[in-house]
Formats: sequence, C-alpha cells, structure tokens
Amino acid sequence: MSALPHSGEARTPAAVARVEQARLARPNGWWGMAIFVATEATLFGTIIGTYFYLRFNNLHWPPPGVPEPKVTLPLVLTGLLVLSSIPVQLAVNAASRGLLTRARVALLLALVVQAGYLGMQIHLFVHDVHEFPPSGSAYSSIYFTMLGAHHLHVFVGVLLSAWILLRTATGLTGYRMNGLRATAFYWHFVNVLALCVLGTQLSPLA
Amino acid sequence: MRSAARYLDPDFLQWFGLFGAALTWVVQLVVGFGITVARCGAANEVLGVDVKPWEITLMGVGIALALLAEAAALSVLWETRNVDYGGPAPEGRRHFFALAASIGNLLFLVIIVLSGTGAIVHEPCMQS
Repeated sequence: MSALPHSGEARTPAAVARVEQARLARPNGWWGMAIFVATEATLFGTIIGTYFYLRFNNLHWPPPGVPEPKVTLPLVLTGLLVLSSIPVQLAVNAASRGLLTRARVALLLALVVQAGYLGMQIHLFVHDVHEFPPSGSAYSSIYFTMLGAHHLHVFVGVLLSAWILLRTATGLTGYRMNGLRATAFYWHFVNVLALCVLGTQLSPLA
Repeated sequence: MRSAARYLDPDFLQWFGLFGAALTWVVQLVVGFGITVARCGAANEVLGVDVKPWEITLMGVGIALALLAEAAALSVLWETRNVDYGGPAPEGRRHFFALAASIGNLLFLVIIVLSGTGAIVHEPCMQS
C-alpha cells in the first residue's frame, strides 16, 4: 500500500478520495474562507442593523409614495436559491469520493439556478430603482444598499462556481478539492444571508 | 456530565463550551440595544415596544444558555482529566480549551446577569 500523499500532491480523483477519507482536519483554504465569511457577516450585520435603526426612527415605513415590498416573487426566488445549496453540497460529497462527473453535473445544476436567480433579481432591482430611486428616502437608500450588497455576493458566488467548474474540466486535484470546499462554504453562507435579507426586506409587512 | 458527553458530539461540546456563553452575551447586547432603539425611536408610536419583558426574556434565556455552555465545558474538562493542558493535540488542546472555557463562561454569566439587571432597572430613553 502506497503512502498517503499530501493534499496538494493528489493529482487524480482516486488520490483525492484517499486524502479526503483520511483527512483529520479541515484544509487551510476552508479556514481562510471562514475568516472571510466572518468579515462579510459583520458587514451584513451592520447593514441590517442600519436598516432597523432607520426603521425605528421613522413613523411611516416604507415612507409615503414608496410601494410596500413585494412578497411572492422574492420568496420563490430565495427558496430556489437556498435549494441550490443541495447540489453544491452534493458536488462536494461526490468529489471527496472521487466521483468527478457527478460532482461536475451537480455543480453545473447549482450554477444554472444561481445564474437564473441573479438574472431575475437584477431585473427586479432595476425595476425598483426606476420606481423609487435610492436618493428618494432613507428607506430606499438602505433598501438598495442591502439588496445591492447581497446581489454582489451572489455574483461572486456565481463566478466562484463557474471558476471551479472550469478548473475541474481538466481533472480533480487536491488543490481544486480545497477550492470546491471553500466555494461550497461561501455559497451556504450566501444562502443564509439571503434568508436574513429577505426577512429584513419583508419586515414592514409584519 | 459523563452521560451528556456520551450522547453529544465531542466537537459540538468543545466549541459550544468555548463560545456559547460569549455569543449569548453578544446576542443579548445587540438585541437589547435594538429593542431600546425601537422603544425610544419615533416609530414606537405605532410599534408600542415595552423594554422590560424583552430584557427579562433575553436575560433568562441568556442565563440558561451560559449555564449549558458551562456544563459542556465541564464535561469536556472531565473527559480529558487525565491529560495535561499543555499536552499533545488533540486531547491536550481540548483540555486547555475546556479549562479556559469553564472560567470564561462564569465571567460571561455574570456579565449577562449584570447587563440584563441594569437594562431592566433603569428607565429607557433618558440619560442616567
């Protein structure tokens, strides 16, 4: 039986699977993503805190002239986005067992859902900007800041998924496996953020 | 404590024991601040927020979670009692974490009780 390679030296799906099965701790790339996610969580905590600070200091929320937030479409879109965490995690599980084709199909499925969500949300965003511009009131300022920041994070997630999909086109290595794990972590975080942003967005209806 | 350690994931006990009480205090502080802002803001005319029931609830839940975190830390401390805190990883490190957590959780418990009591006793929306 050959010695277990270092994760950076695993060059085939079978070698990656062996490394992953013997792994005792998470890779450094995962911890790097965890620290990045912590800073992003702080950013969104501040944005959501600002939203509620402004809300509590304004009698009418949304202010007169601004329509009530829409419910159905954001709920459906967020539901689809959250469900995309399943294929992303399936891709990680398949790749860690050396099943590259299965991992790539799951990742492609997730990418299609993510890109579809982003396209629809950008369409809604542009529509809302024309209806009540960000400079119109404190509500519209924080509304567009919060949604814009989240859409930007989804966009980064789409880029990461596309990048890892392209990289795995030429095979699976330990390095790419770590990248896939970090991308999956980021994507799960973006989906938790989506729920927080949706809850904040719909809070005036409560 | 030994039975809790047997049925719960050791990793969960270790990390909940280390960070549980601290995170509970953070949530109590941030949510409590938000409740006070809501009470003192212009929107309270329609929201009708009362600070005291919220603060009592936050303090009660906070005390319960801090005590659970302390129990988790003590269970890890007991499980690793035969290892020195400077011993080799992972057991030595777990013992060190549990030792630090068992002391830190008591401090956070006191902070939760004192900040909760202060928020309940003082009148909101005025300088003290």
